[in-house]
Order: sequence, then C-alpha cells, then structure tokens
Amino acid sequence: MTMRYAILVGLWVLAMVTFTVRSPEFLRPSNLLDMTRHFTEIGIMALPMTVLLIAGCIDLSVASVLAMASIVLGWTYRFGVPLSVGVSLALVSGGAMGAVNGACVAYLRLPPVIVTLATMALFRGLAIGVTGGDKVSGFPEKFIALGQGHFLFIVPNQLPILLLLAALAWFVLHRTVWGRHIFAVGANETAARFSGVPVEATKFWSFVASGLLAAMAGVLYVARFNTAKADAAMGAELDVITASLLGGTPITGGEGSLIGTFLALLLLSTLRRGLDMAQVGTEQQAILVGAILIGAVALSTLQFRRGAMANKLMRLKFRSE
Amino acid sequence: MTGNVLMLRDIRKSFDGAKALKGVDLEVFGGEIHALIGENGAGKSTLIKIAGGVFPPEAGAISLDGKPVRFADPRDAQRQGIVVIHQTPTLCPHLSVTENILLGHLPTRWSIVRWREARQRAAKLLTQLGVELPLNVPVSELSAAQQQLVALARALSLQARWLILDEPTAALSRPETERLFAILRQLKSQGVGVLFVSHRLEEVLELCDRITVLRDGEKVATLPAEEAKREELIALMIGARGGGRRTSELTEKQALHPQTSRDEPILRLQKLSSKGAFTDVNLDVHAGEIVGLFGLVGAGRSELAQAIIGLRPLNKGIIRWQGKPVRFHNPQEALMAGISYLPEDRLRQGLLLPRSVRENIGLPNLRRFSRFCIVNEQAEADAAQRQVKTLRVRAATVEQPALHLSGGNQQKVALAKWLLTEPKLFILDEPTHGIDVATKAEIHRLIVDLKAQGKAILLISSELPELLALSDRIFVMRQGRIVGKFDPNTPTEQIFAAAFCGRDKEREKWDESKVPSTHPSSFTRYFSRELSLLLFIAAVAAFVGWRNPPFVTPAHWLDLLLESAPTLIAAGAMTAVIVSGNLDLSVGSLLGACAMAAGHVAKAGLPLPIAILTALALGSFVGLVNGTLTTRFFVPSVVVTLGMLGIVRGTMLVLTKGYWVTGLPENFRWLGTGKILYVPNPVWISLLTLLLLWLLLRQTEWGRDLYAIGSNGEAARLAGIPLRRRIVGVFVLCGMLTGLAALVYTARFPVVQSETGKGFELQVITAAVLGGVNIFGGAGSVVGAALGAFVVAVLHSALTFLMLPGEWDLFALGGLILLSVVLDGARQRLRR
Repeated sequence: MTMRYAILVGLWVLAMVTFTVRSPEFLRPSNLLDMTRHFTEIGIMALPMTVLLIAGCIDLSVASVLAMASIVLGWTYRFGVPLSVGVSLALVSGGAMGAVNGACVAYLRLPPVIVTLATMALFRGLAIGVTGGDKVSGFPEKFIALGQGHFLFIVPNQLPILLLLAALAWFVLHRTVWGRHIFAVGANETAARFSGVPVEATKFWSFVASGLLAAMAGVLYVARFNTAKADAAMGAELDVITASLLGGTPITGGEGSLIGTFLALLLLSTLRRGLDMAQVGTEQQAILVGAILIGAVALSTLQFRRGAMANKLMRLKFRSE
Repeated sequence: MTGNVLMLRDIRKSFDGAKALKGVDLEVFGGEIHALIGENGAGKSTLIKIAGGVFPPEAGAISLDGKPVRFADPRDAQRQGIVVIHQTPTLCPHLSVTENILLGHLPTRWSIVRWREARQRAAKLLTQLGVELPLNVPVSELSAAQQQLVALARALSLQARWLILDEPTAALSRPETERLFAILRQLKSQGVGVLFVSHRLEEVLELCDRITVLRDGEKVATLPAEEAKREELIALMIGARGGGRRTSELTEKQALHPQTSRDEPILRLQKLSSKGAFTDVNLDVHAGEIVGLFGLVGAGRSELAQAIIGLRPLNKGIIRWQGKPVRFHNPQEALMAGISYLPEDRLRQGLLLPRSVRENIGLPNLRRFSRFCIVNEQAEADAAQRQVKTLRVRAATVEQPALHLSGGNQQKVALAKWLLTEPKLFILDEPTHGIDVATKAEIHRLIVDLKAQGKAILLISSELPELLALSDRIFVMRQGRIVGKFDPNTPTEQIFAAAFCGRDKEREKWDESKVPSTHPSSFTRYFSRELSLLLFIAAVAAFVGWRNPPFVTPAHWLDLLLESAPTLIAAGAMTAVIVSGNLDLSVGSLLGACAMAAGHVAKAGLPLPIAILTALALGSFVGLVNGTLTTRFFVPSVVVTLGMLGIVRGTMLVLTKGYWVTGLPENFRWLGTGKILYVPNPVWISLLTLLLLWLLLRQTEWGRDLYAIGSNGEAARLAGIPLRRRIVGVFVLCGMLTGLAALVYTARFPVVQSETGKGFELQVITAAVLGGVNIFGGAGSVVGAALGAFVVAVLHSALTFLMLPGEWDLFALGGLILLSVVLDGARQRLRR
C-alpha cells in the first residue's frame, strides 16, 4: 500500500509541476482550493464506493442518485416546502434508492453490476420524467453559499464537509465492527457467514450508505450551481469508480483503503482542473480517465498474478478440491 | 494386453512440509479394474491428481506403456489417454448431453456443426455404455448419476485408455451403481484400464481385479481381489494401531475418561431431518464429554453440524439446547447461545486468507472487543497474541496475513478464533485434516484440555484412530442416518464396518428424494421466453391499437422494424458477448465513433464500399482492444469497456472537434433510405445479420465454443477450446457489428450528430436481458435478444401513441432491465 501511496503522490506532484509550468496561474491558492469544489462531490461518492468495492460489490448508479436527489430538493423547494425539509427529503430519497440496490443485491442475490446498471437508467429516467427537462434555480443566498461561498476568505465551504465525512468513513471502515464485517464479506463471504457476520445486512447497509452520500453530493451540487436539473453529473460514476480503483482497492474486494482513494481523487481532480484550464472539454477528458481506469486495474491484477500470493492461492485452490 | 500399462514409480509429494506421498508405486494394466483404497488423508487424492496432471510429483516417474511421460496440465494427460472423472464431473451445465459428450470435437463440415451426426455419435456412445439419456436436455437438469454417465461417454469419445474414477458411487443408488459396474466391466473387456477410488469395500471386492491399499502416504500392499477379505483390507488400511486404543501421547486422557455426568445433556437432537442431507438424527452431547461422529465424506455429518448452527434449513425434528427447544436462524444466534463450529474446509469456510491473523481471530469475537461498535484493536491484538502463544502458532506477528501461514498453522488460527468465543459446545469438523503429525498431536491435547474444562465437544472425523483415542462415545453416520452408537472400546473393525459397508432399504428411499422431478418439455424450455415476449407485444398492440388505431397498421410496424434495426443488430452481437461470460459497455460510444467516421469518409466523396469498410474496421479495431485487454491483462470486461466508453467518445470528440457532419451524399444515404421489394434496406440488413448470427451461435463450432466458455470455463479449457482467442474474437465481432449498426443508423439521416449513440449500450443490454440471455453467461439466444430489442422499440412507440411524454423512456428502460433480472432470479430460485 505504501508503494501505491508513493506513486500516487509522485504522479500528483508531476501533474502539479506540469500544469504550473504551462500556466503559473494554476498554483494560486484560490485556484487550487476552488478545484476542491468539484472534487468534493466526487469524493463524497467515492467514500462509499470504496466501501462497496472492498465488500466485493460496485454501484454504477451513484451519479443518477445524485441527480434524482437534486430533483427532489429542487421540486420540493419550488412547491414551497422549507429548504431544510427539502434537504432531508433529498437525503431520505437517496437512502431509499440505495436500499433498492441493496435489496436486489443482498436479498435477491442479483449481480451488482447489472442491478446498478439498471437503476442507473431507472433513477436518471425518473429524474428526467418528473422534470420533463425543466430546471429549478433561484435558491436562497444562504443555501447557495454552501456551494459557492468561502470561509476564512479562501477555503470553500464544502471542503470541511468532505474532510469530516472522509474522517468518519475512515473511522467506520477501520475502527468499527461494521468496517470489519465489510472486509470480511469481501475477503471470503462463506467464511464471514460461518463466523457469524450478517452478510446480507452488511451489503444492504453499504448500498444504503452509498445512496445517502450520493444524495448529499446532490445537495452540494445544487448549491454549487444554484440549479437542480435532471442531467446533473452525467457520467460522474466513471470518476468515482476510477478514484477507488486507482487508490488501490482491487476489483475483487477484500482489501483497500480510503487513504488511497483520497490520494487518487486528488490526482484525478488536479488533472481535471489542469485540463479545464487548458480548455479541454469534459468529454475529451474521459479519454484520460478511462485510460487511467483500465491501467490501474490492469497493473494491480498483473502485480497480483505475478506475486507469490497468487501462486500460493492457486496451489491452495487445487489442494482443497 | 501386455505392455499396455500406466506406471507410477516412487511418487513423492509434500505440502508445506507435510508429506502427502512418501514414494508410492502403482501400476494399472490395460484391461484391469484396479482399486485404490485407504483412509482419509492416506494420499489417494494426491496420487490421482498427479496421475491426472493437476500437479507434478516432487520426485518419481510416470510412464505409459514403458515410455516416460510428463503432464503439463490435465488436458495434456487427457491427450495422452488418461481421463479423470470426479464425483461431480466437470461439465458445462447449460449445454446439452450431446454437446457435453462431444465438447471440443463436435463433427463439423466447413466449421458448421452437423447436429444430426453429433446426435448419432452421442447416441452410439451412450448405447455402447448401455444407457439411454435424453440427448437435447441441458446436463444441469440431470441427476448426479446421469451426469456421471455423460462424463463416461465423454471419456469414451476421447478414446481414453485409462480411466480414473474418484468415488464414483458416492452419490449413486444401488441400481445406478450396478449399471455403472456393468459399464466398467465392459470397458475393461475393451482393454481400458480403470483406477477405481472408493471407500466402499464391498463394491471394491465385487468389481475390482486388484486392490492397492495406501496408508499415511505409503503403499501398504497390492493384492488380487479374489484373495482379499474385508477384514484383511480394514486391517491393512488402519495398520498396526488398529484394534485397540493406544495412541501414546493421549494416555493421560484415560484418567479423565469415564466420569461423564449422566445429567441432562447440553445438546439433544430428536429426529432431526434436513431434506437431501440427513434424516431422523438422534444424538446427545453432555458437558465435559467428547462425542465422536464417524462416517465417510458425504455421509451428512457436516450438513448436520451446519443445520444445528442455522446454516441449513431443517424439515423436522427438535434441537434441545440446555433443555429448551431452539432453532438458530444463523451462526450469530448459535454463537450467542454458546455453540461454535469449526468448519471442515479452513480455506473456503474458515479463514479470510488476505486478512491478518489478528483480524481472523477477532472476527467472531468482535462483540467482546468492541464498545458501541468501536473495535478496541489493542485488546483484540492482546487476545490474538495470547491465543497464538497458547496454541503455538508459528507466525512472525499477529499482523501477518493468514495466507502466508502453513496449513497446520492456519488450522490453529481457525481453532483459535472459535475457541476465543468460549463456547459451551464446540463442534469440530475434521480438525486435523491435512496437517502434519506434530500439530495433530497438539490439537488432540487441546481437545482433551477443553473436555477437562467441562466443555461439550462434538468431534466430526473420518479418522477412526483419532476418534477412538479421544471420544467417550462414537456415533456412526452413513447415508444421512445414524447407523450405530459405539463405546470407544469396541473393536475397530466393527465401527469401520458400520460406516463403510452394508446396504439398507432406507437408503433406496433416501436416493429417491435426490432424483430430479420430470423434465420440462423441450417446448417450454426453448420457447417460453420468446413466446412470452411475443404475447407481450401482442397485448401491447391490442391495447394501444384499441385506444389509437393507427398503431396497428402494417406501415407503422415496418417503421418500428426500421427504427429498431441498429438495436437489433447490436443486441444480437451483445448476446454473443454475454453468452461468453462478458459484457460490452462501449457499444454506445463506438456506434457514435463509427457513424462519425463513415460520415466523414462519405462526405469526402469516397465510394460507398470504402465508407462501409471504414465503419466495420474501426469497430473491429476497438473490439480487438477490448478483447485483448480483457484476456491479456486480466481486467474484467466491465471495467475495460467502461473505460473504453469514455476513451472512444473522447477521442471522437477530439478528432471531430465536436462538429457534426452535415449534407451526407445520396449514395451513402441509400443504405438507410433505399428500399428493396418495398422493404427498407436497414430492415433487410438487420434481419440478414440476425440470421447469420443465429447460424453462427447455434450452428458453428465457434459459436458453441462461446457457450461452453460462458457455461464452465474450466470444462471448456479441458476440452481444448482456445479461450483467449474466442473471447478476443467475440469482442471483435461485437465491435464490427456495432460498426454495421452505426451505418444502418446514420444513413437514414442527412447529418451525423456528435451525440450519436449516447445511452445506446443501455438499450442493447436491456434487449439482451429481456430476451432471456443469462447474464452470468452460458445461455441465451439471438432470437430472444432480437425480440427483446423489438419490445423496447414497441414500448417506446406505444408510449408516444398513448400521448405519454418521451421523457419517461429511460425510466422504462431501466425498469425493464431491473424487472427482468429480478424475475429471472426468482425463476431460478423456484426451480431449485
């Protein structure tokens, strides 16, 4: 893991240097801090994504949940519901969408990739259907400040939220019984079950957490753009999954760390910001993100296969048959 | 027949220092049935794995007909004439009996499978075996016995000269066993050499010509069957230590032995039954007592233990725990009540191999090390450290992953983890299986200590000496029933005989419960999905037509076909990809890229064929990249194609700078707008493609290979199917056909938008899933997927005709996928 961290930090420094050489503006603190606004939403979703990957699952629907939650917030606000109630409803709706995913995967034993691919369309489709392509904007100043304002002059308001959530997620994953159960389920589901781990509940609540946090990212998204719209954060799941996998969580589960995810996120956001400043469009940037995604997984599986660990596992497999 | 011999000389093999084989000689002549017997752990399975090419021996030589040979892998051994048939044979569950028998060498002409000839050949092989099986039924619907017959027929078709059968009769009823024996005798008369591994001495004596006995990794004797007696064989298997209880290190235990309290048992099972596993089990365990449970593998012992702790459903009977009737619904409840179960297979059921020793030991004990769900790692590490010390686990630190420990130490960690839960009743399932002698002795001492502490212990083991030395009472289980209850001073032979021999009428009854019910007719099996989709289309047409008559005019349905042409083509291609066990998420981006490329070429004034070739070549190229990354770099295809989704669209936008192509020339647009015989070209193209795809998947060897790979990759590899090449091929095919879909799509309009193909992958996957293509691979038809694609188009149009806004399209699409996977899942569970 330390090796992985070192590589990520090294790449990040390289990216910083490159972009600064291209345009010294890049290194301005306010620029760097502004970068974290986009980063916050992706980051908040990457936390539960890492958890899900460790448990051997995946959630492709996060960006759609984000959009749907933002619609819940926007439309309740349009119909005069107090904003605090609207935010709560958005979060609840996110949890509910996560629960749909979780129930299908944990209790109906369906493959997570297909389930969340379906709900990715389902939730986004619901958002589009409800709004009919309409948007809501004109949120109160105070709320917008959450997404656009600063405190201590330069620190974006949402950054502490991410840091707080990241610390919380780290604590839950590495210090609580629930976190242990996640690792156990991903490492060996059968052994976990034999050891008294509630496998189904563990998966279910991980998906609920994923939905809830995606909804929270949705609230921040609305505040940042002062708009609630159905096509919010299209394709963001690519960044989220890439960050988790690049951070060293294997696609096979059972291992992984949030610190890695966080460093990978930093690298990805820096690249995105740098490319934004170089006027490269979002979709063009997908070339880079996609390549990083494939490269990250290819490297770790190759490493794994070459390592002594793989040999040993293979041998054990044969013997136990 | 002389010279026709499989010879193993001085074979040695050890695992983590534990010697499994210490120089074993074995020879099997052509035309003989040779039995290999021995207790569990005697080295039988290691020996047959070496003979079958699973792994090489450390020392020693294998020769065939006097020529030394070396097997690179099981397939290599197969090529040289040695076929191993396991208790559960390696078959492709989704494929038919015919295909499984002839997998890898179906009769073909110009690579088109000749089904009639294949069926004839399979039928002939089955007749040779003297059995009758339905040829077109998927093997997953056959019973275990029938699957074994399929494997035997397959071995015949491979022209096996040596057959190794690993406990073939374990799952068979008596008539099935007799039939198998008749077949083996017949094979013998044809000159085949058979190595028959079994625990059932009576069967061995009945069937075999010679018998080799293994004990503790050494060959004890090879003797002709007519000279052998049952008692003699048992004596050879258990060796000198048999007959009495005299395991030296355990003498101290004798003193503790007889004072078992005769009060209320802590656990009492009354007439406990679980379907297909065990029936009417009565058993009791007292505190401070070790109860042994002896029996063969598959006798239902582990199943009984798992049913007690709630991992298996119970049909009837009562569990009394500390006097009260209970049912545990899961292991958590059992743990809370004070029952721990050390599972049989430490690698699959016992340990989290990549996690540390500390975490492994902590897992069932987290409640104790946590407060408000927060784990106190220090306390956990201390406890783990103490356990490691008491059990003398050889690990550098408790932070070492369990993976890096030797087998014996892993077993100690597994013991440590459940010991720490401080159970009142400890169920130990084969606690000393596959570990070295020293560790074994340590574990035996530990079990005795636990008894001294007043714990109740249910000890499941296949090693009788172990049970004799440790237990206060021994129950013997056979075929899911308790068949005897013994005092440990009973002569060994008697206990052995109870477990190994005898047939009873009860057994036939037990067998009957295992025979699957009648097969569904082939009609429902092949056409249910297609038929229900057609009915669904008819229902939608009737309803919408009633509300809005223009919906049911022929012109409109032709339009629907025209509109769905690209999806039809891509859904067919996706079927091939999913059948092989993969997924392609990049088809949407690829459709856009190919459309754009063809548009540019056409606009540049190049002739139509060049434009077509450009689209097809670009598609194939991206498919090649997908396939190569999936097979060479071992990245799951979902991840590869998710990445490619971004890469392809991004590259397309960079190259075109986001501009649309406008004013496509007429000659290009003919492809989309022209008509032949009043039917638009795209409809012709898509239907023709589907027909070809159907032929490819259904009628060619290449297509059948895909099904085999998706159904059971291991079986496919063993049959010599080149997995990597086929998977790369299927991705190239999918890419190329996506290129074709792009042509059909884009030629209908005068412009190519940069947005082309967004979300297309979703439509295509919906179509395939809706059409009944199994998302795990191995099953699915092009016809189903095409109907699925058509349903998507019909629904879309129906929504429009019902004046519902088009914004709900995506929602409907997502709902359809979810609904069909949920329904498929439910159906599969019902079948089970």
